[in-house]
Amino acid sequence: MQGGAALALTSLWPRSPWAAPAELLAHSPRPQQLATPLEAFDRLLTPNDLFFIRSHLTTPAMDPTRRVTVGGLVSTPLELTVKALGAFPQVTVTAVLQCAGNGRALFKPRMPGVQWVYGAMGQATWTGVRLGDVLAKAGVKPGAAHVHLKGADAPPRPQTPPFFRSIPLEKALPDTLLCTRMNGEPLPLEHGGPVRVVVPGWAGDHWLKWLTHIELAADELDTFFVKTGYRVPSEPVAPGAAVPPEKMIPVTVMPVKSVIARPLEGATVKRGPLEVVGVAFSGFAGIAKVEVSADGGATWLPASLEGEAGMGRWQVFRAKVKAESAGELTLLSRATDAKGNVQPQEAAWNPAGYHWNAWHRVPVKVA
Amino acid sequence: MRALLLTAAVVSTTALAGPDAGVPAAALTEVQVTQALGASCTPCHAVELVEQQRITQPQWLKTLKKMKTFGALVDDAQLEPLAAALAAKWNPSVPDVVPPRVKASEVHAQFRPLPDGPFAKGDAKRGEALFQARCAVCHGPAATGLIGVNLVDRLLLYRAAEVAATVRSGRGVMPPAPDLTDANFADLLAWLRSRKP
Repeated sequence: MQGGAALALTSLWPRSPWAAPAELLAHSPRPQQLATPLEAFDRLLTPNDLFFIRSHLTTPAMDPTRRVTVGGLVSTPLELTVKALGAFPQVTVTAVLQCAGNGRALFKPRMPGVQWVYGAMGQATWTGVRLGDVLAKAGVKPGAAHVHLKGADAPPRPQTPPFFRSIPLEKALPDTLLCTRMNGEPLPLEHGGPVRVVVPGWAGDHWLKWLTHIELAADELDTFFVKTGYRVPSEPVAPGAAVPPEKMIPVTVMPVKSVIARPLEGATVKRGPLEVVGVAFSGFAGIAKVEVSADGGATWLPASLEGEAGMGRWQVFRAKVKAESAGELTLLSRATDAKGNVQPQEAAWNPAGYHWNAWHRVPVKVA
Repeated sequence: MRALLLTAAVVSTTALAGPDAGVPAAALTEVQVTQALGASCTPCHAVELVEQQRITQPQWLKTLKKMKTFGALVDDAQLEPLAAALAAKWNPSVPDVVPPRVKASEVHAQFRPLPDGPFAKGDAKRGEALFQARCAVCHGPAATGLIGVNLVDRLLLYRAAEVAATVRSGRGVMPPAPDLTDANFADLLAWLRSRKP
């Protein structure tokens, strides 16, 4: 798909104007950690101004002349400006960006970290060049197996580990983009501009912001946030369990998940038909179905799906349930992807609180 | 210098741990906790990131130890009493923080440069001399961070009015510098902006 196609694609999709004043949920002012309000997850594309912001360290200067160097195990090292990246074929993908720790506050027992609830996710069109095209120009040497990604997200102190990433070449080659536009606009600084990495289907920690260096290497990068941080147990563990480091693996593919945007928890709804709207996605495959329950999971109604199914891409779901009688009512949503992965009743507890994906449970009051 | 700053900003180690290792440390006062947060945590991140945690005392201790390896200024003897004090304030039985709703336009404005105004047209050479005399002891001679934070290639360098206000009033262990003029900041920023990572 050539550049510019993102806008045409966007205009085909149903979008209602954002009526409420655009607001974000402030988890931290420094570095800025801001979540998207839940009610924004009723549409295919999350507008840039409502898109969650997750900054690991401190924000670098906006430098349009920032270059991306390509080195390590390559035949021809490259130094690319944004303009030079523009000379490669431009590709647009629609994909969910979700912080690995989205939903951390919902795990019990609790763990330290930014206490995200639902809002550290969003979907946008991401335009840029294939990392594979850039690596083809540089020429990957035999023996290269990992792509080390470094950005201008500099540590505040010399002892603070840098926030670098390491992606296996087999994931980097087919799917990964070096992104310069988000929802058709030049990539804003707060979202990693001028160049960030886009890794469809994988958790946001791999979507490195403010990219400056790409280095091909035989081994995974040996830094704290690769070797120790952003890891999950290789097998399910009991909630609260201590997991030895050798049983921890990198957090990568996002598990199947759905979230209800309307009605909101605690809302008062009228008796009668009730529309339930939300989004569903999986990093493994496209969404096959979303079901909604209004009776605690005894019966499930199929929801209709809008948008195009795809790995790491969300679709909007809608279901009409009946609010039969006045009182408390709990709505549930449950997604299934095309590979048969079903959103679980309980999310798999893990020490750092990654990948929360339990059924979304929304209690409302029927008037 | 480092020891001096710590003594000034943080309660002394002896007072926290007690002269005898076998004697449990006295609980920190509210003022001592505030001082410790200012010295150890908020140089690098906002206090909101501390206040939203709902973890146990052992988890606080583990977190403090991790943050110390990340460069947080905290004495070893202070770790246990500080973990106890933080766990008393923010633990799993305390209701969650509800993150305040802020205008998206105001958030995005924080990521844009501010007009330099009176802080424009500085002299990098004068700025370097002033930085080495006044700032380098904490921010490092190359401005890449030491006790103070890294100042190279940062967005904050393009938000001069905020930098001037913060430096003049001080923050955490950074003492106030009300004597610095607009021209001083213009010089400092001219030099800092010329630094490449």
